[in-house]
Amino acid sequence: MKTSPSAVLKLQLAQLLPAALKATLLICVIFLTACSDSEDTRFPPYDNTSEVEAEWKSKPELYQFKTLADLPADLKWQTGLDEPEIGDPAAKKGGTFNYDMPNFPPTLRFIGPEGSNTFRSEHYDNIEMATLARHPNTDRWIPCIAKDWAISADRKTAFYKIDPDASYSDGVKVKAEDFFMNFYVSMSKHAKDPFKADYFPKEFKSITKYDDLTFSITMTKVNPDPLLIAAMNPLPRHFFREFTDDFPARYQWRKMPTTGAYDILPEDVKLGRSISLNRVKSWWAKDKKYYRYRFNADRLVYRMISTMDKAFELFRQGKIDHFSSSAQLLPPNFWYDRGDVPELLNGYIERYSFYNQYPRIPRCLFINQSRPFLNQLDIREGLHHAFDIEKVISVVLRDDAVRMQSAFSGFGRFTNPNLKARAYNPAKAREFFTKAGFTKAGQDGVLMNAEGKRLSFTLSLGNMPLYSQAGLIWKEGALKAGVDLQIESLDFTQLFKKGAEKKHDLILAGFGATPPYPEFWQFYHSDNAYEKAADGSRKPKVDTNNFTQTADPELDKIIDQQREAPNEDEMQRLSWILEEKAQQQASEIPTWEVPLFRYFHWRWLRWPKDGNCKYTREALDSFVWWIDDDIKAETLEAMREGRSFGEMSRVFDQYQNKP
Amino acid sequence: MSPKKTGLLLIVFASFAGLFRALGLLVPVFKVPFLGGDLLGLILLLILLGFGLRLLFNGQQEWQFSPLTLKQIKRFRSLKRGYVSFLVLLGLTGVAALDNAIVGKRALVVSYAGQLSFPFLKSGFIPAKTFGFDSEAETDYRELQSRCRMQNKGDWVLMPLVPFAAKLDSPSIIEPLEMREGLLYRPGSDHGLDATAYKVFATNPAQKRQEFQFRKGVRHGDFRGWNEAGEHVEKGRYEKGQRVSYTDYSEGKAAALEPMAHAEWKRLVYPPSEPSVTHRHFLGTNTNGQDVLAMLFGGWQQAVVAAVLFVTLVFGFGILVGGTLGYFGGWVDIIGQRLIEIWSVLPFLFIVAIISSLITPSLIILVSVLAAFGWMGTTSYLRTAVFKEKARDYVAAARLLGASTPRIIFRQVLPNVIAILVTLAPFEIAGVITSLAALDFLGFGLPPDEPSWGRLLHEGVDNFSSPWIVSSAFAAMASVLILVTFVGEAVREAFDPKKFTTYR
Repeated sequence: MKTSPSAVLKLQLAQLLPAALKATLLICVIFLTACSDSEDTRFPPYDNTSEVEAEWKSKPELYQFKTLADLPADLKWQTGLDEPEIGDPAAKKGGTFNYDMPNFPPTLRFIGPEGSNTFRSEHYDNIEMATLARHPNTDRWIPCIAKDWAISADRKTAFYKIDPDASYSDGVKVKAEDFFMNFYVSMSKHAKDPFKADYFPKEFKSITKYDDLTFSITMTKVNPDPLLIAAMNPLPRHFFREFTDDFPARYQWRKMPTTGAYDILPEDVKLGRSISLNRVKSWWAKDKKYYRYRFNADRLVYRMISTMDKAFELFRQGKIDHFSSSAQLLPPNFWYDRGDVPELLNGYIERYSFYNQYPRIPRCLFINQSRPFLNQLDIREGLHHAFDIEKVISVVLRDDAVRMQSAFSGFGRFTNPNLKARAYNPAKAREFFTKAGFTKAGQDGVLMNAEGKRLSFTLSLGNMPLYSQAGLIWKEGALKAGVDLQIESLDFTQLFKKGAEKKHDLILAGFGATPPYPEFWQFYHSDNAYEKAADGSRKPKVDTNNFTQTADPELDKIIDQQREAPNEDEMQRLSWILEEKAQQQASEIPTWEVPLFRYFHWRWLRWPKDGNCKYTREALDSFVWWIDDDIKAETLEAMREGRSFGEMSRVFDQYQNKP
Repeated sequence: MSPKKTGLLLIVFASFAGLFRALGLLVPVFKVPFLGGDLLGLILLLILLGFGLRLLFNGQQEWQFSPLTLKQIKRFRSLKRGYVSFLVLLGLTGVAALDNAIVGKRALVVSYAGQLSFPFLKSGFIPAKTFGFDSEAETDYRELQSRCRMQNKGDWVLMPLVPFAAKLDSPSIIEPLEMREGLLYRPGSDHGLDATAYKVFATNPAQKRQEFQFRKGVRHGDFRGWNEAGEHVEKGRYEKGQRVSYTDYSEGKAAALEPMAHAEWKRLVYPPSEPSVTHRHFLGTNTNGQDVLAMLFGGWQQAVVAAVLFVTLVFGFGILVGGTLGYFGGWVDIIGQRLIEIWSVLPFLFIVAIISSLITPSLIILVSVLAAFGWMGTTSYLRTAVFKEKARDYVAAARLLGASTPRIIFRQVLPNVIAILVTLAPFEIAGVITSLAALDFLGFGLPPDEPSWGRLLHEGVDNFSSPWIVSSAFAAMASVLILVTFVGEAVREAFDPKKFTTYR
């Protein structure tokens, strides 16, 4: 039977139609569900105002409410307005700054689980305003949220008068009770931050409100500088109204209204890809001294780029404006080998080095004195002379770094300037080992003592390429001195675990150094070295930072004194004594410090004439830079035409420690 | 070579190896039996000696192989590709055995003050004091060689072809520069220097006098100066050859140091440096400054040792377990198979990563772990083969004649399944070399001071701008694996019962 073509077609269509209809319906359903605004029903609205007030009432010694009449009459109020201006008056407001970050932050919270992530400094630490700030060039207090301040006669209380202009980015004014909120949040178990919950009750006795713009904080003990301990920022009560036991999850991606210059809008958080900060146009401090020439760019875009190689290539294309690194770990080969690119030689990209003053990371080789042979001073001194730190600095770090002379460098007046590190000297090392009884050399060159024990130790390092290279250089150098080093390359988490368990022989580790005072208790006190075991003997105490297992009762006494030092002169005297004693016991070998930071940027990123501020850790921290869109247009045109501006490479060494 | 001659050769080798060991000499090829320690070496020597004596006294005039074996050998030799690959691999293994004689940092011969010494043979080291240096550590023979050449007193040093060790040997490369018409050049280059160059003290070559940054052959950039004690005494800046700033930290004494400098300009060549014949780094250096060719050699030695060890372990285990399961069958087989299944489900990579992070593995431990996870394949093959053989008539006949079980297994069944093992061997070798390189690439394998191809590959991939690292490592691995695969294919075809298969 013959069917006409049109009939066949109709038949086929009829068969296809149900399928096509189903497909269309399916697509519509998917489309609609994806488009619709799904209600996040995990977090029902909550109001904790009554809870908060009840908490404040329940702790009257901590949360005190007084009136202006109760203010002491003899307070000497300071305004801090006679410090030099920060930044360059020629700074232009505006422009977009493109930057990269190696990982996407796990949260926008600054407290609680994962609250301490590397991105936090970009939107919180460097931007939020606290009661007072440190002048980045003179290192003295300048007004921030507080317009005036005073210290009580017994140096335990700090009084503040809040600037009436101070407000959050949503327009709400800052009040004294916002600082009460800081206490409440930090000490609350909802925040799930054990460090803060422990720190606040230990350090603070009370916070007192005198009126909406005047308050004081009382510390538990005398500190050399009470303003340092009392420095904290206000937390907006209206933002934290929903602060309750689901705080970490509820506030995971909520950005707090800020008192600083930059805010993050919800649409600017592209999970896994980028975060952008926008300048708060109506920022309350934008015309105030110390702040009016800073925080100039309109928009800061942080793109997530996982490898430095890729970041460098994007930088060369102009998609990133600034190339530097965090924590001074820019590998030297980017600077020396890869830096001579055509963009640099033509002057489109500029290259700078800036010598700064900031506490250095005390990266040392810690010697565990509880291990066999390492408890002998001669062996330790010999080891000091057996490590070729100088070769690592010159070959691996390309002389970017300098030899750190002691483990407490960069603390200004608190660093003992008379201490010198022991240089690499195999002959001297062998002398010390001979004194310790290691006289014969075995077949492989390693020294042995009379019982036939070899002079062999394990060196634990993190598995960074830089450290692996250093490890091999040290192993080769140590063999010349008769020591055998077994290199153990571990993941950093495991490295710290091994150090914390005190199972290491030698370990290369660095701890964060916070200004302004060097800390000795966590590194040298015997409380952190040993504890009593069940049978009465002593065993190494785990999970402390005393990697050298120093336990000297004489030293303990001085450390305790230093912690309670009443003023800065005493602090300096005791710090110098402790540093000298630490140097004499030869329990850690200081490695290197990088006294500068290096950075490349496109020429439309402009800085003040003297480069940057003295007390900055990284180039962008001080926010004295600005984007010049006219120069950007000029540069892009020059690139199209092939014009050269001449190579620009400068070193700012006005703040360098002269040798 | 007749059996008697082979036996004689074995006896001679074993006795010399023992003699050299007793004298404390480490002669390249003869030290191979003692790689695993004294006891193992002694056992191996005794086995070789016993074998040699047996061949010498009981051996026939000619080798008596079965006609089948002869046919297989003849077929193998006729497959040119595989046969040549086999000979090349054998040659390379021989080169690996030469060890110190061609790649090493100890000199072959030193003639000093009229006396000859052979440092590469000694198991201990000769302290540098013996040759006039003032250190008690091992002599740096390269330094000795350059000093002998400079002093010209008739002393000489003969270094191996590649004068660098595979482990822990990263000497700094100093390149002398040429000053032509006021501009500084690298030797043989025709555009000016764009790097940092320095001068040393004439009396103390280990201390820099002054160091300048150069651009296009003229001074441009920072410069620093030191005194004899190594203290930093002066600093300044140059722009296009003109000095624009200068600071003297030593109250005027820096100027007096000027004439104390040696006339030659030098430059430190930072690792990784490119291949250069003058510095005898024929394939360049890696990021640590170690010679790439020496590391390839070291890695090849590791590969050979790993291959022999792995194959021995896997085959030993395979024969034991596979033979047992195959021969006894029944419940033994069922339980054994289940246990093998459980074992093969374990995630190999995770366990190796865990072991690597707990201890620093040596080559032997690593190979043992690889063998512990790789013996299942061979076992299954052997089990099948033994099953097949057990069902054959000759086994039944042997049992009827009253032969004991061990006798049947070892004298009847196993010789017939050797063919499978021989065919499997090359692929197992390729497998273990790849696994070892993969583990080292990921960072879970040998510690960083041991030479390994995988680690070299990883470094090469991280440093593509120094292409000599990755291309050497890749070429070495690729060629060895290709050769081994060719041999494997040839062996498989040679042992194939069918004359023509679908592969041809």
